[in-house]
Amino acid sequence: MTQRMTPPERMMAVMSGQKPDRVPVVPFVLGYSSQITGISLGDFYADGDKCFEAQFASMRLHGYEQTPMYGYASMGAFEFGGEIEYPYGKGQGAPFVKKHPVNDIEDIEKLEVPDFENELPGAYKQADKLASRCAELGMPVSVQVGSTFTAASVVANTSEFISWLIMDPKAAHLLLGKVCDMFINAIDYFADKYGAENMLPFDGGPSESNTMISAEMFAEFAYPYMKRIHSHLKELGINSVLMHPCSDQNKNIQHYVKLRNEMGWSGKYVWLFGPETPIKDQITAFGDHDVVCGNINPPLFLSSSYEELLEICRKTIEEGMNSPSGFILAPGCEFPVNAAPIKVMAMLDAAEKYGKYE
Amino acid sequence: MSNQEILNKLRDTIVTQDIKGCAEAAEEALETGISAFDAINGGLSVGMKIVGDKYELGELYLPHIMMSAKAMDAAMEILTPELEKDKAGEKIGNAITFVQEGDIHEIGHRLVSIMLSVNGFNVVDLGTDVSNEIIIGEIKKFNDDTVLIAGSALMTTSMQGQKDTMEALEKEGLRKSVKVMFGGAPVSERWIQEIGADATAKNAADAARIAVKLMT
Repeated sequence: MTQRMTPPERMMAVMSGQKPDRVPVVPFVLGYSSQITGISLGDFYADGDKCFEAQFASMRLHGYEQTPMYGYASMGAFEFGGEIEYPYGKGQGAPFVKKHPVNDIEDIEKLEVPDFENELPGAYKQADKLASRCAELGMPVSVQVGSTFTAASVVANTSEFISWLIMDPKAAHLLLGKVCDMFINAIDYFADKYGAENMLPFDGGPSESNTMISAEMFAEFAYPYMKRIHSHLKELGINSVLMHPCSDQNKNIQHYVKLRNEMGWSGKYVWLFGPETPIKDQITAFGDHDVVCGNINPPLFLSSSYEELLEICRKTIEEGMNSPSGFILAPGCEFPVNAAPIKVMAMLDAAEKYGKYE
Repeated sequence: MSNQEILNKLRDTIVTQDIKGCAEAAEEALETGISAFDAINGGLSVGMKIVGDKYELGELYLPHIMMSAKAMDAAMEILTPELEKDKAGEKIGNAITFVQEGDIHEIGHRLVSIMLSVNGFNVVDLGTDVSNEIIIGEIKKFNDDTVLIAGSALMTTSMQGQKDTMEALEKEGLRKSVKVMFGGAPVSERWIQEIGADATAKNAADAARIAVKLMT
């Protein structure tokens, strides 16, 4: 009889290309953990310690395989000297930009790349608090290292940035280069402090989705910076990266595939595409090398009953569990902040019921 | 150049995102005696509809639409003062557009506002992070005339506010005179049914089509 694995053993197995006892569950929980632990959502993002404690408690409560991480979609603006607001108000789900550091092309020239030598810039202070708590407990250090394109789209006024792709591509590249430099500085800081072997950085964002830009624009404005960051990760000996191509990025898949080949990457990517990307397409593109995640549409955790979710998870597991290099059950983006705890339980119950490998 | 050729020029400069050319074509239209209303309806709006269709087909992307919108803005700066002098043509109806409280994601909302406008709606754009009190206050200004509201939410947290909007409409006795559309990434048909709204749409062009159906 096979012994049951612990959550860390399960993740270790899937990341090292072994079969775990069952499909691991990474519910992409961030803000949800604040709601079930009585921490305000604003405090969750404003204080890296509280962010850790809420996620750690949720992880222990539910028994899933995800470990704590710090990040949000509009990271970048604060770090470059802009202003953000934490989500204390009604309807708010994550920190958002109050003042962009870049509003016109002249601002890009003046923009200084934050260094990490003295005080950490912006929210990286909180990310560092969380990272040190993870490291103390032997958990991977997950820090946001992209995407450059999405971060640039919030460092600048988003509508303006999008227009520059056509009107002034040189300006767009200048900004993208500076944002990329910041992420390289962040990678160096965290790898130096916590050790490259302990890093599980994450990269991704929604602004490069094909609801916003074409695959050709992705190739011109997003891919070169992604490649630069991943080449740097490789040079430092970081072997695993969480990738979250958010929203519909089906037309960009060809470029994500190219990334491994052009870099000679032999490490492991964990692909968490938006719900628009069929699992079979992910397996075709990445299944030979990487872990793929099956990627339930997040609003379903609000609108579906426990029984319906169990069925949705069953189908998802059946589609993905035999992917050659591993599969994780996950939502296609952050788990809804206000979903009921029983909805997380549905994922874990489904993994136990339908995701066993014995 | 004939009137139709000038209207075509307005249309084409929108489609090709030619900001300067679009402003010049607007001036040319007025100089030739084309009314501001006809320039918008027969030129700019036709161009924006083409852009919307191409976006839907994946032939154009957001940067192109933003540029076309800039071209339209440049022309509208010239045409708007003249609109006051024109007899405004028949409008399909009034629409109030907004992003739900707590949400500042404006791009989808802007596209919907533009597409409603070019499809014949008189649009009141309330912007982002809009409370139900403001929405209700704006609806009341229409004195029981049928009005369309089109609200968007990009996050599951702000999407919850759409349910509150529906409750506020009922509480204020306004539901019968308001057609309600909600959109945004997490919004589904199931959610629309659950909260008792009228419709959702898969993108801005689709939203305009559905809005026209709801109001006619």
